[in-house]
Amino acid sequence: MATLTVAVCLAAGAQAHPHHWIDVFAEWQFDTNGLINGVKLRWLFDDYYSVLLLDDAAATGDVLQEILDKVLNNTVKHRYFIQIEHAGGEAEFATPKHARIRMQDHRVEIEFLLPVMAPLDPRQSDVIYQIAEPTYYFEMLHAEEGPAILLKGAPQGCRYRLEAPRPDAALVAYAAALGVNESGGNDLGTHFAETVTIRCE
Amino acid sequence: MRVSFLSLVLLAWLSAIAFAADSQATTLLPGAPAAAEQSVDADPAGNKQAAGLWTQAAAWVWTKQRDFHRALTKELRELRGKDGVGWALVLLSFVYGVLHAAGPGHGKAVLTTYLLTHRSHLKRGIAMGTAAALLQGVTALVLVYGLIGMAGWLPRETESASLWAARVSFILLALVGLYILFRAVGALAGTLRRLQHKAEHDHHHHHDHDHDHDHDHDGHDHGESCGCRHGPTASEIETVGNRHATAGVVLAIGLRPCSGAVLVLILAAVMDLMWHGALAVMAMSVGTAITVVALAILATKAREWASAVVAHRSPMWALAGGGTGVLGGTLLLLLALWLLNASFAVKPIMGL
Repeated sequence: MATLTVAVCLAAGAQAHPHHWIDVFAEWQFDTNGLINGVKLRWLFDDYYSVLLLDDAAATGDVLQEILDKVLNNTVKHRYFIQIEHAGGEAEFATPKHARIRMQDHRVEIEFLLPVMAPLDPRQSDVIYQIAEPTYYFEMLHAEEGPAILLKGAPQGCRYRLEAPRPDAALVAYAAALGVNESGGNDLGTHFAETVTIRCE
Repeated sequence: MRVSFLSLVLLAWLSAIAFAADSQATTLLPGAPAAAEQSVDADPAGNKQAAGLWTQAAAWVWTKQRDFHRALTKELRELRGKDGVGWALVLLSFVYGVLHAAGPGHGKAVLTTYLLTHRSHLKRGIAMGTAAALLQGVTALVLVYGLIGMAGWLPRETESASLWAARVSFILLALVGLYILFRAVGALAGTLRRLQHKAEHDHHHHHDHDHDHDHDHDGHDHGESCGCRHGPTASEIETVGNRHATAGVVLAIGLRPCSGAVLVLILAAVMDLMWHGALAVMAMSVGTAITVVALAILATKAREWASAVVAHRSPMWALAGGGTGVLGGTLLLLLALWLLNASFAVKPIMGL
């Protein structure tokens, strides 16, 4: 009987979070003074999600543009799923620039440049950031293929360190038990986020 | 009788899928507001003390499942535009089938409950497991390829068809649960009546009067025929009920395609890898069959073992059997209703 109860409980996992994933690429923009004035973010959605989102890979520009507008509009209040800590504060963003959307090898790809309001000085203190979709419907990790993090125009002595998420088992099980319609709360996703530290010496 | 039951189920299944054609599939966009923001535990991490062995296992199973979905997607992507069978994909699908079947699922719950509460031959359990697992693969193929190829559906639309197929299988699950429940309640009532009867006799007619009821009341094989055949005997009714239940169990499992199979087939259809996809799903089914049959053997053996330990036909055995049936049937019923409810709450407003 115990086995049965276990099997029944486990069935709860059938529709668990996360449902889809986004491969993330972050290109950090350094100005000539070695300050970070923005980050170019590229989100590559998984194949299956892309199929579900679009009828076919030959989707026209209009359809794609509509998706791009909605996504940017939806994510503004989530601060574009990125949280940057610097010198004890959180970086504020200006409106995204150069936003574009395209099909990349049958996958939807969105790219935009996110300027920070006040440039960050990584020599003064570490720039630490996390990228996460808060409800954890999507899993957002830096892409395994290719350089997912670039420090563009960074002065000598700048490097980054990526820490893999270490969610505890209780959280994974909790997320797995969430139905498609259930939200994981306001910060579930951040527990599954990678933490990246940018340091310049 | 059997034919009409089967056709009824198939008819329900088909109409459910036809209905899916009308219901607009929606896809969530990132950052869209959650429709019903549920008040969940604000600090799920606070439940850390609950992270026991069980939680660890559930987390592991889920993480593996996620890795498999990623790996299957990757294999398909790499096959595109290449010649060859793609044995890597076939092998991966087979392993996925074996492991996926070992994980969570209502199919395992219904099959184990049925086999634990019904005396059946090993062969029957094996046949049921195999049939259910293979049917599951065929269901996925029919749902995805059939609808795309013959009905001209878009690949992404077939996902909602799978959802409706799953609902029919949940309803079957509820029916099987009800059947097991009623049957167990009947058997329990019979046993109790007999015990009471016996007790009364022990009291009043202790010496001379021996009412020897020589028929089996354990609820499995009633040899109770009154001699005058006005209708079907109890054993005949039992057999028909059993047959329906067997078909119900197999269909409840088989009519719901597994998520991995649907994923592979939809992607394969989009990527022009139809044959690779079909091959992968067949490998998946074979893998699933191995695990499900192992489970069926385990359940049948467990029942045999239990019946050997507790003398078969003793009131004790009958009560334990009835109790298991009531509990199992109720759990299946609740599970079915819960799954059905959850399936209707799917993907609310966030879509395009």
